[in-house]
This record gives sequence, C-alpha cells and structure tokens, in this order.
Amino acid sequence: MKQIFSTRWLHWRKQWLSLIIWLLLPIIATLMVVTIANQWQEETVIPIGLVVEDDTTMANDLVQAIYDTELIRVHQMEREQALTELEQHELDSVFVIEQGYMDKIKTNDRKKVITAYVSDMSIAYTPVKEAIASYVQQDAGASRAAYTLDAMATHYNTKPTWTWNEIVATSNQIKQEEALLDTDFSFNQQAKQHQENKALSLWNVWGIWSVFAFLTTFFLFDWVIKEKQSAIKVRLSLLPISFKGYLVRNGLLYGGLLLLSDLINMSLLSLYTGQTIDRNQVLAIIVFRFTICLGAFLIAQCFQTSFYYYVSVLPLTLIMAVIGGAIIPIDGLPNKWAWISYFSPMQQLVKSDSLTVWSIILLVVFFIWYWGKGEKHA
Amino acid sequence: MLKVDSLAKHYGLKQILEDVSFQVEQGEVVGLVGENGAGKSTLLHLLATLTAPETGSIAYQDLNYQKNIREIRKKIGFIPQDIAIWEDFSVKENMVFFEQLSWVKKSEQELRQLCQDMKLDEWKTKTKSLSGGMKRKLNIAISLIHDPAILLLDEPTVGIDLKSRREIGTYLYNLAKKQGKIVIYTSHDMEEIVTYCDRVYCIGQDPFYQELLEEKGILVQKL
Repeated sequence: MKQIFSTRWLHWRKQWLSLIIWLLLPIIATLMVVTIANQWQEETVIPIGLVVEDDTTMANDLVQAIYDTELIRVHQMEREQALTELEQHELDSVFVIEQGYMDKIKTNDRKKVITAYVSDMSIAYTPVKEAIASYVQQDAGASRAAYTLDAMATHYNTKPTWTWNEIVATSNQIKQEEALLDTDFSFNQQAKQHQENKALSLWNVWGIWSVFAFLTTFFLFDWVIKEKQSAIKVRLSLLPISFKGYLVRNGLLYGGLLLLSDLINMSLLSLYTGQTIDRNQVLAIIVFRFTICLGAFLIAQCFQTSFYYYVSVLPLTLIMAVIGGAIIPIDGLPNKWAWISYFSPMQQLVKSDSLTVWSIILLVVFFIWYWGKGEKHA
Repeated sequence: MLKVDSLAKHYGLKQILEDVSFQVEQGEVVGLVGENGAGKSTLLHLLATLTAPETGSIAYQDLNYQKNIREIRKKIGFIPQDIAIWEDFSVKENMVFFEQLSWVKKSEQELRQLCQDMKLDEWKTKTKSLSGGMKRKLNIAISLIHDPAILLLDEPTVGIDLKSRREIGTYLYNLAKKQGKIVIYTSHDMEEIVTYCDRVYCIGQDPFYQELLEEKGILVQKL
C-alpha cells in the first residue's frame, strides 16, 4: 500500500490544483446555494401594511407576534398611507388593529377587531390573514377562559382571587407547556436546538452537500477509465499486484482522501449552521462515502471513454438527488412513494442511516467483479 | 530456455495461432515477422502471460506458465507497441513510478544509470517534450527495471529515426549477448531483423517476408 500511495502521490502532485478544487467543491457549492437561498428568501418576503389604532398591551403583543412571523415584512404606518401604498401595489395587503381591540377581546366580542384590506393584485392575503387570525384567536381563547371563570365565580357567588391578567397569563403558559402542535425545523433529525438562522433550516443542508459530494466523487473517479484504457494498463498488468488489485488499492486511497475531506466539510458546515454533529451522523457520512466511492468505481468500470462517463454522471446525480429527497425534501417524490428513496444513497445520509441496501448491493457486485473473469490474465 | 509447444489461440471465429512450437536459448535474439494480423502480437501476449492459450504450453526453464504465473512474470519484460509512459511525468518520475510498483527495488542512481545505458540522458525533462526516439528508449528502460530474463518487444523501434533505432537495436543485442537474456521482438524493418537477430520466425500465410529474408541469406523458420 505504501508503494501505491507513493505512485498515486506522483499523480496528485501533478493534479494538485484540480484535486483541491474538486475536494472543496461540495462545501463551497453548498455554502453558496444555502447563502443564495437564504438571501432569496429574505428578498421574497410578503410586504404587508399594519395600522395599529389600539395602544394596549394586548395590541402591542399582537403587533410583535405579526412582526415575528416568518416570510412577512411588516410596514407599520397610518391607515391613509397604508391604503395608498396598497392601491399602488407596494403592499400585498393591509391589516388594521382597530381602536378598542383589547376591550373587545376582554368582553368576548370578536367582531371587527381587525380590519383587512386587499387589492386585486394581492397574492398572499389568505395565508397572512390566517396567520393573524390565529394570533387573535389565541388572545380571544385566553380571554374567553378568563371571562368564563369570572362568570362561574359570579354564578356560584364566590369572590375570585385572581385578576383577568393573571388568568390570561396562566392560560398562555399552559398553552405553551402543553402545545399540541410544536413545529421545529431540525438538522438531520437532531434533538431540538435553538437555531439562530431560521431561514437556513428550511433547506436540507446535508442534502445539498450530498448532491455535490456525489457529483465530485464521480468526476474524481474518472482516473479508473483513464488508467484502464491507457497503454500503461499492459505494464500494470505484469506487476506483483494484479491490475484489479492496483485499481482497488488506488480506489481505497481516493476513498480515504475524500473521507478526510468530508470530515473537514462536516466541521465547516457544523460551524456554519451552528449545530453539533453526533456519532450517528459521522457514521452516516462514512457509509455514504464508502457507498458512493464504490458506486463510482464500479460504474467507471463499465465505460470505455471518459466523455460518456461524464455525460452519464450528470443525469444520474440529478435522479439520485430527486429520489433521495436531497433537494426536494418537503413535498418531493419520497413523500409520495417512500420505497423510491431506497434507490438513492443520498436518502441514507439525509436520514442519518448507517446501513443501506446500496452499500450491500455494491459490495456484492464488487466481489463478483473482483473474483470474476480476467483476474489471472490481465 | 524458453520452450513453446503446440500453442493455439483464436479470437472469435478467427484462428490466430495454430500448433505453434519453437524454443529459444539463453542469449538468443529472435525476430518475429509476418504481415499485419498474422498473430505476432498475440504470440508476444501469450509469452508475456497477458493472455492464455486455448491449447499447448509454454515453459521457461523448469517453470510452467500455467502453474507459475507469478514467478514467470518476475522474469518477463514486456515492451508494448504503444508507448506506455505517463506523458505528464518527467523521465525520473516515470522510472520512480514503475520502480515503486516493480518486483525489485532500485535506487534512483541505478534507475538513472539504466537510462544512461540506453543513451537516454534526459532525466528531469517532461516526457511529453521528448522526441519519439527518447520516448521509445524510456518505454524500454521501464520494462528493464526489474532486470527481466526474457525481453518481449512489440515493434520497439517503430516510427523513430535511424540513429535511435540503431542505439536501441545495439543495446538489446548486447543485453542478450552479455547478460544471457532472451530477446524476442517483432518488427517490419528487415534491415533491423537481419542485423540483430540470431533466428527469425515467420508467422502467417504470406510468404513475402520469408522470401525477402531468404534473399538476404537469413534462414527463416515458419511457425
């Protein structure tokens, strides 16, 4: 193996620039895609106008909740100005928190607490309206609980020892503690963690990385075709190790180099996303690397020229990415037909699985190839 | 002694070699001539263990090819017709590359000496900038790194200038005569065959080469 490393090193020294570019491509491309995607998300938020005519705690809390809503850019202004901007289609819709909002909620009167304005060009009115209505509903629900308790106290002729504010606060606290719907985007099914960059979480970072890692691995393994086809193959066939042995040992070296690069990539992505990586994820990366190196190695054996290999790699990468759920993780094909995802090694990485059908199938094919015809006489 | 007995080989429906038998003594230079497609390269590939015969046997000294393929390969230096070197490597890097993978270990000094013996004085020059003759010399030098007992050369001097051709021919002849190596090579250059070969075998049905060499007083045996 030392000799194989020495000889491969001679090649790598000649190709150091292209080698480094290929090794760095997955991390650079992933960071670029994620950054651009985040920027795009920032730029494509929905502008809405917000008019606040009620200066109470509850109204201010509602305003804050609207401000905190993702994918909405809130412009707080006067009603007249907001309607002008809506007419000019600078705003998608306008919502007015009417005077007496808190009083109406407190008295369980939910009519006309919020007024909404839309134009014929509003495209996101319905989802924004639903979001704001849900915040109002929360306030109304807590208030209704207080109102009911107060009514019961009156009915049973007892004097309540709590205030309306205390009931609302307690109600909100219980709702938070026993939330039925708790949505939290997480990284590779990792335990819930605080994420500083919420927009980033919408993208499956490892899914994107796996696409580029797949592509670069296949392009780097073109050495198999070049050395298999060169006149040098005759020389390499007469060595102390067989030609297949020579290819396999070099494949292992490439696999080792790529794995080293993966671990560096992993650390950098971990720093970028601000998330820790556990043992399962490291194991998943190792298995993923092993699988795609073995796949690239065996597929390269089927080609006589590099050109057709390169041409085949691009659609193969795309197909694997789509069926593996690496680039369409939310409503992609795997959600429709779960079985299809098993055909892509990327699914294994995205789900942090350590054992895949692919690695086993490829190992079997590898042994058939290695012990098959042509080993004795090169 | 290299002994070939009743070899036969076909590719598809085409019979390339049929009942080929001959033997070569240590220190002999043997030429293989014949028209294109006659089976010269196939015979060299069989002798180099790169392919297996359908019938017949080959033995070097007491070693049967079929049973001792690893031992036989240690003794074979095969020089392919295509120049089999890494074009983006220097002469030195090419020599070091194949030395690392070779049956024997050689120092850089020994490798350089081997090149100098072949009048290949460039050492750090990129092979892509070498002349055709120099590339051919390097092609041979690489095959000699492990000091093989049998040298099998497939048109080793094709497409190079007369000076380089003579240098290579003389070097191979000296290897056989001074070090007792068996040298078997194919060539279409009858001048070269006449000058350096102790014996000539003609392969194929076309009598052209046989008649041509016999006109020059060379005894040609038909395989």
